[in-house]
Amino acid sequence: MAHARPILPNRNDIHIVRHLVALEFRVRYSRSVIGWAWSFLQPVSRLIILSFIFTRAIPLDIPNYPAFLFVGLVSWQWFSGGVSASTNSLVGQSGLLSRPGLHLAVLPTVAVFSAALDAFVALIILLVFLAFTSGISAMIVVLPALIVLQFMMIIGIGALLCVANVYSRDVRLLVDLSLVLGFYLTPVFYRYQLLPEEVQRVVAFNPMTWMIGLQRAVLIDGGFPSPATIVTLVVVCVGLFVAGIVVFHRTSHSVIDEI
Amino acid sequence: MRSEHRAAEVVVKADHLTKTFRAPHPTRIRKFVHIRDMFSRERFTAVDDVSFEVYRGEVFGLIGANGSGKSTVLRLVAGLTRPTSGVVLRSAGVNGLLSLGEGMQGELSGRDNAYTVAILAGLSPREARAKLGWIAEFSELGDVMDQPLRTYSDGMKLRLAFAASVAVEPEILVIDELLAVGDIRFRQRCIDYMKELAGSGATILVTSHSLGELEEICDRAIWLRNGHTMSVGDIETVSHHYANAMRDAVGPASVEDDGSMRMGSGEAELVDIFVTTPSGIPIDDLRAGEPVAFEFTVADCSVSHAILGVSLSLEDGTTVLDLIDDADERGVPITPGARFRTEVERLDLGSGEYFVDVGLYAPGWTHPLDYRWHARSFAVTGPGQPGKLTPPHRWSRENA
Repeated sequence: MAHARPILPNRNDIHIVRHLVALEFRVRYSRSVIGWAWSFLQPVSRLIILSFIFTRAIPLDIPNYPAFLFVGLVSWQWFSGGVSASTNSLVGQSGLLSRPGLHLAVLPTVAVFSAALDAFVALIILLVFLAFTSGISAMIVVLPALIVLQFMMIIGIGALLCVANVYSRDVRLLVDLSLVLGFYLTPVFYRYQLLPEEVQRVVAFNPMTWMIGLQRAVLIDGGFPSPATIVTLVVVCVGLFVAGIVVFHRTSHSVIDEI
Repeated sequence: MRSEHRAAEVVVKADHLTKTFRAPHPTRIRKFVHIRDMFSRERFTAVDDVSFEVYRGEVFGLIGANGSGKSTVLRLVAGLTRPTSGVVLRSAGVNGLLSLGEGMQGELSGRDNAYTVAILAGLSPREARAKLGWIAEFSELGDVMDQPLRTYSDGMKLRLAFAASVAVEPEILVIDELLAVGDIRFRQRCIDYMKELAGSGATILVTSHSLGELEEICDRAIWLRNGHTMSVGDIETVSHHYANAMRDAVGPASVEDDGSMRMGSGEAELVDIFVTTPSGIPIDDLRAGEPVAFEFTVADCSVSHAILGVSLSLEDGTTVLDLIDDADERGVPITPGARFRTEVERLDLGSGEYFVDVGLYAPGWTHPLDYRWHARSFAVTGPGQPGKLTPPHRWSRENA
C-alpha cells in the first residue's frame, strides 16, 4: 500500500517532462511559418536595436558594447522567461493537476526547462558572436558553473512563485510587472557603476546584478571575479533553490484544493 | 464470481476520511484589506468520516447529488489531495479520468494528444507509440486521429481521452461522471470495457448521480449525502436504501382542492401559477403562433437552490414541451416570494387543450421539492387542423 505521489521523480516523470517540453515547442510554433527561428529572432533583434540606441543615439561609452549587451540580454531573458513561465505553471495547467499519479513538480520543471531551451539557443548564438568579435577568454571554463547557479536560482524562485500564484492570482501580475521593471533595474544594458551610489545599494540586492556581472567577467573581460562575489552568489542561489524546493514540497499537496 | 474476488484482496482502503476546505475566496481588494481573512477563513466539511474498502476486480460506485462529496472522495482515493484526517491506502498506482482535456492541445492532432495522455498515464514513449493503433480503434476515431484536436466535438474528445487513459491497462481506475458526455453507443462500449478490465483483475471506482448507471456496472457502492455515508455495501442494498430515501423525502402524491395533483418533499412551495401574455396578463386561451409566458411564485422554501421546470402536456399525458432551467444542475437561487417566468416566443401548437405542469427540483435532480401536475390548463385556438404542431408555413406553386 502506497501513496500515489512519491517525493522523488521516477523514470516516468522524466519521460513526461521530456515529452511536455517538446510539446510546448511544437505547440508554440505549430502554426508559424518560420517555426523555431522565432526563438533566436527575439534576442538578436533586441540586441540590434539596443546596441544602436546605446552606441549611436545615447552613447554609454562602454567598450565592445554589443558583446557587453548580448551577455546581459541572454542572461536576463533566461531569468525573466523562466520565472514568468514557472510562476504560471500550476495555474495555467490546472487541467493536468487532476491527472492521478502525476508528480506536481513536473509542471514548474517543464516551464523552467522550456525557458532554458530558448536560452540555450540564444547562448549558442552568443558564443558564436563573441568568437567573431571580442574573442572568448579561457575563463569560459567557469561558465557551466554559472549556468548551474542561474538554473538553481530560477528553479528556486519559480517554485516559490508558482505555489504563491495558486493562493493569489495577483502574484502572476505582480511578477510580470516586476520583470518588466527588473529589466531596467538590472544592469542589463548599462554598467552598474554608472548608477548613483544610493541606487547602487538597492540594485545590489538583485542577485541578477551579480550573476550578469560574473558572466561578463567570465565571457568578455577574462578577469577573475572577486571571491566575495562568488561566495555571495553561491549562497544566494543555493539558498533560493533549497527554499523553493522545501516550500514546494510542504505546500504542493494543498494546491488542488485552492485552485 | 464476485464474492470470490471479494474474499481475496483489499486494493483501496479509505479509513475515516474527513476533508475540510476553506470557504471560497473573498473577492479581490477585500483580501488585502482583511489580510487575516486569508488565513482564518471559515472551513466547510466536504467529506465527513467516510470509510470503505474496495476489492480487487470489482467496480465500486459512489453515488450522491452534486455537492455530496463523491468527487472529493474520488480525488482523495486518487491521491490528488490529502485528507484532513483519516488515511487512504492503495496497493497500486491510480489512473483515471477526472477532468476532460487535461494536457490536451487543440493545435495538435488527436494522435499527438493521445500519445501525450498515454505518456501522462505512465507509459514509456515506446509503449505509448505501440498503443496508438489500439486507441484509434477503441475510440473509433480512425483517420480523424490526424486532424487537429480543435476540430473535435466534446464527444470525440471524450472518446479519445477515455481510450488513451485506459490504454495503460490500469490496476486502479477512477472515472468521475465523464461518461455523460459521450454518445450512448460509446458509453456502452466504455461500460463493457470497464467490466472487462475488472474481470481481468483491475479495480474501478466510478462516481455518478444516476442510480441506473451505477446499477448497471457496479458490484458495490457507497451513497453519500452532504459528505456523510448514508449506505455502503452491495449495489442492490445501496440502491434499495437510496430509492427508499428518495421516496420518503418526496412522500405520496396528493390531490389539491382544484383537482390538480401535487408531490414533493415540501422544501419549497409553488403558488400563483399563471399562463399569461408577454405583458403579464393572465389568459385562458391564445391563438396558435402567439407568444405566451408561464409564471409562478415560490411561496416558501427551506432550501437555497432549485432547478425550475415547466412542461405542457395533452390530456392523454403526452408531453409536448419541456422548458427546464438546468444549465448546470445546481439550479438557481430561490427565496420566499421569488417570482419566476419563462417566455415562449411563439407557441406553434395545434388547437386543443393543454395542461401546464410546474416543478421545482433539488439540485442534481435528486428529488422534486414541489411538483404540481395539471396546475393550469389553457386552450390554443386555430384553424382546427388535427395536427399537434402548427409551425409557420407557406404554400407556393413550383411550375408555371
